[in-house]
Amino acid sequence: MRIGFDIGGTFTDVIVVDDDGRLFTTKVLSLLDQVGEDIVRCVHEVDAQAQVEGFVHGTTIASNAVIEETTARTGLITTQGFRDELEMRGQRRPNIYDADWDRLPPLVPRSLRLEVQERILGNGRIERALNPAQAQAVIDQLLADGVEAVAVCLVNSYLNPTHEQQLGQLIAEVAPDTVVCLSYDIHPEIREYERTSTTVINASLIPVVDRYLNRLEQHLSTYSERVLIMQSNGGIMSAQAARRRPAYMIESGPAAGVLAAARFAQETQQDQVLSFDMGGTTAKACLIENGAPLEKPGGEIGGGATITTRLFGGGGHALRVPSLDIVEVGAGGGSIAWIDDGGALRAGPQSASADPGPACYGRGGTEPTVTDANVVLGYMNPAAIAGATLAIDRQAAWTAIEQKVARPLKVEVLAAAYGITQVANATMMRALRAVSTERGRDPRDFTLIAFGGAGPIHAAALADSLSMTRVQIPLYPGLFSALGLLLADYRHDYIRSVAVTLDQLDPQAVLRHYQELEAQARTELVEEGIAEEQIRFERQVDLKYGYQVAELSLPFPDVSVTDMQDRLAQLFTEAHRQAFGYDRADTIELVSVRLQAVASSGHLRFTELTGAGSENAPAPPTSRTAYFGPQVGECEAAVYQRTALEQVRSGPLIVEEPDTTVVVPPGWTVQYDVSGNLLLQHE
Amino acid sequence: MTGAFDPILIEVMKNELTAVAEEMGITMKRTARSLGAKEGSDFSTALVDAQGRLIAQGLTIGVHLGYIMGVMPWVLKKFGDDLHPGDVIVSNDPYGGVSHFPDIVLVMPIFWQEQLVGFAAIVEHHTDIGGRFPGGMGIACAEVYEEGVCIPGVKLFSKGELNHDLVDMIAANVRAPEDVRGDLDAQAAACRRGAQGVRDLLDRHGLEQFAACNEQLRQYSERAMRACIAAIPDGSYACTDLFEDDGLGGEGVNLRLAVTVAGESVRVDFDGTGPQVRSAINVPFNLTRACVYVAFRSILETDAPANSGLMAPIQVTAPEGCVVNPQFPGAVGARGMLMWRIIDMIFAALAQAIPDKVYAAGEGGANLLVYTPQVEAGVPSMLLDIYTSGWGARPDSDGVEGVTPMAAGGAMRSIPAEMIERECPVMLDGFGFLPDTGGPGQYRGALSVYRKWRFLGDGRVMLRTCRVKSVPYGLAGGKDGTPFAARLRSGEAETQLPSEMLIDTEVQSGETLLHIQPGAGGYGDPLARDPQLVLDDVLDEKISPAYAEREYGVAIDQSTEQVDRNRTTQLRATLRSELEA
Repeated sequence: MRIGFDIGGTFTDVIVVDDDGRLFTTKVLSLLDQVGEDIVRCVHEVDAQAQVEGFVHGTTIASNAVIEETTARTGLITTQGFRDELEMRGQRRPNIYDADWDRLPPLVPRSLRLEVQERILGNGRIERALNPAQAQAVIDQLLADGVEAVAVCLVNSYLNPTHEQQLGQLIAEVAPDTVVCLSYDIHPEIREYERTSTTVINASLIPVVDRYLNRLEQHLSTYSERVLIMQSNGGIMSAQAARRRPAYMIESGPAAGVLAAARFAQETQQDQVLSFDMGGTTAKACLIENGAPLEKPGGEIGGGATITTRLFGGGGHALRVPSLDIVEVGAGGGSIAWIDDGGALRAGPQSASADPGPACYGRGGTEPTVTDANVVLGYMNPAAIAGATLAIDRQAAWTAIEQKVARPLKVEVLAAAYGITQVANATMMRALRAVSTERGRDPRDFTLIAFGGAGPIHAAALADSLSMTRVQIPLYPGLFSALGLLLADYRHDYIRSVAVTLDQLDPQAVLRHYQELEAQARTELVEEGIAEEQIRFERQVDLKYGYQVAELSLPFPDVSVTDMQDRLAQLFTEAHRQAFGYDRADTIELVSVRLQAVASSGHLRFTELTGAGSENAPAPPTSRTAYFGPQVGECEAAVYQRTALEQVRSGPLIVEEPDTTVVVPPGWTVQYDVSGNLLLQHE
Repeated sequence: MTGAFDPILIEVMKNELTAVAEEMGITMKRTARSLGAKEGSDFSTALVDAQGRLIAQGLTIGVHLGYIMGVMPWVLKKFGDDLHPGDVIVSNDPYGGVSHFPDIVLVMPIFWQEQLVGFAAIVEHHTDIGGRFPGGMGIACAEVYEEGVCIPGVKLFSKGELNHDLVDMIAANVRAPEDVRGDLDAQAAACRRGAQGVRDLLDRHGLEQFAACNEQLRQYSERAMRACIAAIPDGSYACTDLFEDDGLGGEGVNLRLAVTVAGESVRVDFDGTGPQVRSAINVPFNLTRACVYVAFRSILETDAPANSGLMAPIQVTAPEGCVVNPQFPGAVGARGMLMWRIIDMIFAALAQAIPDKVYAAGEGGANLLVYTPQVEAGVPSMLLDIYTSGWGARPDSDGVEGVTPMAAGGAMRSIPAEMIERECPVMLDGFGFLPDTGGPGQYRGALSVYRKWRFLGDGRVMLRTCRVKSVPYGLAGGKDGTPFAARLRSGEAETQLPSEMLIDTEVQSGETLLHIQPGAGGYGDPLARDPQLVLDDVLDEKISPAYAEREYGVAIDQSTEQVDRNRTTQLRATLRSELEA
C-alpha cells in the first residue's frame, strides 16, 4: 500500500492506493499539529493491517515559511565588503517605471550579516588566508545573537571551498547543533548574490523543515518509516535529503499537481495543455507541451505573483534550484473578499486558511471568502461538502457577504457574491495569460485541465474569458496533486563544475566525473530504497564559448576518449549555430558536467485507477437554484454525479463529487468519457 | 480580421511581439562578450514596422526608448530602396539618431513572402569605441572627432554577407577589439532571432491581421498616454536648474524647461537653456526627447505597450545649438552626466501640478568606472562598470537603497564581483551601504552606496559621478543627502581625488579606489519620523545611536533595544527650539 498526501493551505488531501490498484481518498483539515495523526487514522480506516510501502508528501511548508517570513533566525557570513549584496540583489528591480515600489526585506537583517577577513581570487587561488581569530569572533557574535542557522558564502568560493569549510568546522566545534550551510555545497556556481541567496534560503529553512518532518515522521512511523518529499523539479526525494536541501522543495505542492496533469496529458495524448490548479490560498498555472511541463533553472521566491518579464528580476529572493515553470497568483477558495480604500471590491491575497476557514465552515470564520460566494451562488452544496464530511452553513456565508461586502457596496447579496467570484477570476486569468499569451501561445489552441478543490468551479468561466473552448476535469480533481505524488519518479540532479577549455580537457577526468556522480547517485537512491537496476542516468554537458556567461546544455555523446574533444567541439558548434545562427573560431569551455538520476517509483496509470465504491449506480439527479450573473440571473441547475453524464448535457448544471464541485455554466456542455474524465465544451 | 477589435487577439499579439523582442534580449545576453552586456544588460531590443514606427520593445534601459525611433528615419532615407533579406545596418552616429559613439545600433530589415514587413533592431553600449578617452565617455572633448570611431549608418551585412573589412576597421580603432567583435556578432544574432520571430508570427496571423493589430495597439497606447496627460491640470510648469559646470571646471550650465499641458497633449520646450558647451556633456536632441518620453512613461500607470503611439501626444522642442540640442560637431560622449538631470527636472516641473508624485533627489544617475589596464601580451581587458546608489525619499516612504535610478533601469544590474574578477585584472574589495548617510527626513533618503576596487595592473581609470557640486536635495523639510567622495589608496597613503564629475587618473598595481556615491535626499521633517522606524534603522545598523539622537531626536535604550520615550520627547523639544531659535 502506498499513500500520498498533499498539505495545502486549507485542506490536506490523502490518497491511499492498495496493492490491487484500488484507490481510497479523503480530505482532512491542514492543522499542522495533528495532520500526521489524521493521516494515520485514515490509513487505519482503510486497512488496519496495511503493509505500507511508504508515504509520499507534497507540502507548502517551505514556501510558506519564506513568504510569511517565519524562517529560522539565520546569520550570514560573507567576505569582507560583501554583507550588503544580499539586500541589494544586484541593484535590480522588477519594474522599470514603478516609483511606488519597495524592496522585499532580505531574509537576514543587516545586523546578522557579518564579514570575515579572507580572500580567494578569481582563479581560485587563496590570496589571504582566513583569519581564524576574527572568524571566531564573528561566529561568537552570531551565536550570542541567537541564530539557529548560519549560511556561509564567500567570494569565489565556487572555485575553492577551503575557507567555507574551515568556517563550517569552526562553527561545528563551538555549536554542533547550529545548522550550517556552505554555498559550495548548495549551489557551486558563479555569481555571489545568487549563490548567497540560495544558501540563505536553504539554511533558514532547515530548522523549520526539520521540526516539521520530525513531528510528521513520529506520527507516520506507526505504518512506515519511509517518507518521501516532492521536489520543485517534479521528482521525489527522501525526507533525509529534504532536511539537507529544503530549498529544493519550495514548489513541492504545486509541482505534484503539474506532474499529474502532465501524466494525464501523456496518457490521453494531448500535446497542448494548460494546467490550472486552484486551492484554498492560491491558483497556479503551467504550460505543458507534448506531455512535458516547462522547466526553469531557477527563479525567485517571495516577490508576490511570479509573473514578470524574463529579463527583469529583483522582486523576490533569488533561488537557483531547478523547478517546473509554474506561475502562481494569490487567489483561492479561502481568499478573503474586502473593500479597499478606493471603495473597490478585492479578493485575496489574504486567506482564511484552514483555521478558522471560510464563514460557511462554521469554525468561527466571519470574513467572506470566495468559497462563501460559491455557496451563496448555489454552485457548492449548501449543506455539506467533501463527501458529506464537512457541514456547510449557508446562512453564515450569506451573513458574512451581506455584512462585509453587500451593505458597504449597497448591492444585493447575490450580486456581491457574483462580484467576488469575478474579481477572483480576473486575478486567476493573469496566471493563465502568463503561461500562454505571454509565452507567445494562443490559449485557444489549448485544453484547460482544471483541478484542485476549487478549480472545477471556476474553470469554465475562466476558459470563457480566454476564449478557450475545451476544459477537462480529470478523475479525483480535488485530490489530483496528491495523486501526482504517487505518479512521480525519484529524481536527483547533480552538477560538477569543471571550467576547463576543450584544448586543455582531460577526457579521462570527464568520464571519471560522471562515474563519481553516478556512484553518488546510486548510493543516495539505494539509501532511499531503490533497486539499483531501476536507476536510469542521463548525462549532460554544459558548453560555451570561453567568454560567454550562459552555456548550452547538451546530451553527453557516447564517444571514445580519443574523439571526445573533437566531438564536443563539433556538437557545440552545431548547437550554437542552431540556437543563434552563427559560430566563432573561439575557445570552447566545458563548464560543468550534469547528471540526472531517475528511478521509477511504480507504474500507476490513470486508466488503471479504480475508485472505491465507483461500481455503485449513480444517485438520481437533483437540482438547486444557482445564480449566473445579471444577464442570466437565477435559474434551476440540475445536480448530477459524474458517472450519470454518459450523454452530452447542456449547462447550467452542477456535478457534485466527493472532493469538488464542477460548474457547467449556460453555454457549455459536459460529458463523461470512457476514461472517467469530464469534458466541458463551449457550445 | 478587418478592423474589428478582437480583444483576445490583440492581447495575444501584444504579448507575442513583446515575447519576440524579449527573446532577442535573451539571445544578446546569452551570446555577448562584454561584461556590460552579458551581466549588466546595458542594451535594448525593438521591433519596428515597415514605416519605421516602433511596435514593440524588449525593455531593459528606459532611456533607450528613443534611440531606435531616432535612427529609423535615417535608415529609411538612406536605404529605403536598397534593403534586402540578410542586410544589417549599423550606426553609432549621434547626429544620425543615435546617442554617443559607444552605443551601437544594428537594424535588420525583415522580409516575409518577399515583402518588407518591418525591422528588428538592437542598441548596445559597447566597452570602448576608441578616441582620446577609454570608454568613449571622456568629458574633455570639444568635437566628436576626438571621441572615437563614427559609424555613419552603413551595411554590416549585405544579403547575409558580413563586411569583414568594416569590422576589422572598427576593431583596429578600439581598446577592446574582442569585446566589440563578440558583441557585434551577438547583436546580429539577436536581430536574426527577432526577424525569425516576426516571420513565425506572420505565418500564423498573416500580414493583414498583423498590421491591423499593430494599428490597434498603437491607438491603445496613444489613448492611455492621452488619458494620463488629461489627468494633469492644464497649465505651463517651468523648472530651472544650474548644472554642475560646463564640463571643464567653468561656470554652471543654465537648464530650463517648461512643460505645457493642454488637454490630452503636452509640449516640453527647453527655451532658455544655455548654449552647447566645448565639452562632451552636450545631449543629442534625440536623447533629450527620449528622456522626456521616459519621464512621461513613468507617470503612466497602465502597462500600455511601448510603441510609437505612446509618444504621439508628446511634443519636444529645443533651440538649435543649446546644450540639449547641440549642433555638429559638438562632442556628446559624456551626455550621461546631464541626461539624468533632464528627467529630474521634468519630475520637478510636474511636481507643481501633481505634488503627490514628487520625490527628493537620488544619486543623480548611473555612476560608472572605466578601467583600462596596460596592454599585456596584446590581451586588453577593460572594465566598464556601471552601478548606482539609491532613491530620494518619497512623500510616503523611504527611498529604496542600492537600486537603479527611478526612471532608468529595470533589468540593468551591477556586475557581480566574481564575473569581474574572472575576466579583468581588478578585484572588488567591497560594495555596500555607508551608515549615517542619506538625507534625514520623515522619510529617509537612501544610504550612500560605496564601491571599492583593487587594481592588479598599472592602468588608467575614469570615474563618473553625476551629482558632485549639487548634493541630492531634500524636499518638504527633509534634509539634503550626503556628498560624493573618491579616495585612492596606495599602501598607507590615501589621496582624496578632486570633486569633479569625471575623474581621469593613472593607477598603479595594488592601489585601491573607493567611490562613495552621493546619498539621497530626505522628505519631510526628520523630527516627525516615527521613532519606531528610527529604532529599526539603528537595529539594522543603517544609522548609529548617536546619529539617531542628533538628526532625529530619538534616544534608544541600548539594554532593552527599545525607544526611550521620555528622552526622545526631551531631545525633540530641544532640537525643535534650536531650529526655531
